[in-house]
Parts: sequence; C-alpha cells; structure tokens
Amino acid sequence: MQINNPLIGYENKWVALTSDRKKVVAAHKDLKELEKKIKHIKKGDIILSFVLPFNRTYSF
Amino acid sequence: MPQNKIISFSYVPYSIKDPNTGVYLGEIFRPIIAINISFGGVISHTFDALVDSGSDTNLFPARLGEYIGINFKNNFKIVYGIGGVKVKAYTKKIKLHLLNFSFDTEADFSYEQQIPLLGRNGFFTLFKSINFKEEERFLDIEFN
Repeated sequence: MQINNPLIGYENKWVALTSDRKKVVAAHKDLKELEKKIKHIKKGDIILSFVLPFNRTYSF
Repeated sequence: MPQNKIISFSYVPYSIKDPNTGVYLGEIFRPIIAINISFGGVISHTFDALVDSGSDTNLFPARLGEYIGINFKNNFKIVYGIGGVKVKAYTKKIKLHLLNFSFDTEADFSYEQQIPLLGRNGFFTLFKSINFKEEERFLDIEFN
C-alpha cells in the first residue's frame, strides 16, 4: 500500500510542520531541542506536533 | 465571540502499521486541532491537540507551559489515565487561542504527558456543542 504522509519517519518525535501540514521543517525527540531548531521561524508559520508510533493502538 | 457560529475542522490523518510486520495498513483519522496557549502575555507556538471527549480536563506536556513562562514546582495532583496509569500534573490558569478567538480557561500540565489533550472541563465547556462527524471526518465546534 502506498502511504504518502509527511509524518512517516518521525515516530516518537516532535515535529514542526508547515501550517498546511504538508512538510516537516524540523524534528527532534525532545521538544526543548526542537524549539532551539525553530527559533528563527515565525510562531504562526508552523504547527508543533508529537508523532505517536504508528504500530500501536491508543486510548487516551 | 461569534454567537451560534460553527467552525469545522478536518480530522488529521495518521499512518497505521501492523504491530507484528511493520507493514503500513492505511490511515486513521483523529480529531486534532491546532491551538495556542498563553500565560502572562507570552504566547506559545501553535501546536496540535487531540479533542478528547473522554478526558476530564485539558492535559498538556509541561514543556509547552515552561516555554510561555509557567513555573511548575508546587501543588501537583495525580491524574489517572486509561488502565490506571498515573501522572503528576500541575493545574494552571491560561488563555487558550483557537483561530482568532481567545478563552480564559485552565489546564493540567505534566512532564509525563506527550500528547496535548483537550478535555471536557476547560475546553468542551467553552462551547455550545462539539460534534464529531465521523463519516465526513470533520469536527464541528459551535460557539455559545
């Protein structure tokens, strides 16, 4: 099956996505470290998101 | 506040893999929306949060609070999750920002929480209704 999701490859990491969610601009397993990487990016231009592992089922 | 206005948010797709083989099986769609929080005038980055009707309160990773200047030292409580999982959490009054709207509310913050959760007390209570439209994969939020 062909899966085209920009989050593939980022399991268990925090990612900074473009506001249209089409591209990951930075990633790190530690949110604090990710904040350092995106210091130069305007706050409204990205969305931070934690990527849960894809091979698990969740009940929050 | 836009009275009786309904704003629709598209569910966000996440991949799912077979836990045994690692083969991609398709996608699951979750009711996730992008929000900001602020404290003392300092605003966070925009971040994804899961709209969770099973959660009693908002629960955010503590780092998101630290970033906007919240200090977590005293007065923690224990929050219980599915299966009796316990996390230590700190309740704080914050502003929650959704699109161009701001709300005074409160949230629990925990160093043991990774996924930001929007729960009943502090999020659902801000609105007239929240409708999970599973077939269309949209979340409708109706303002008071």
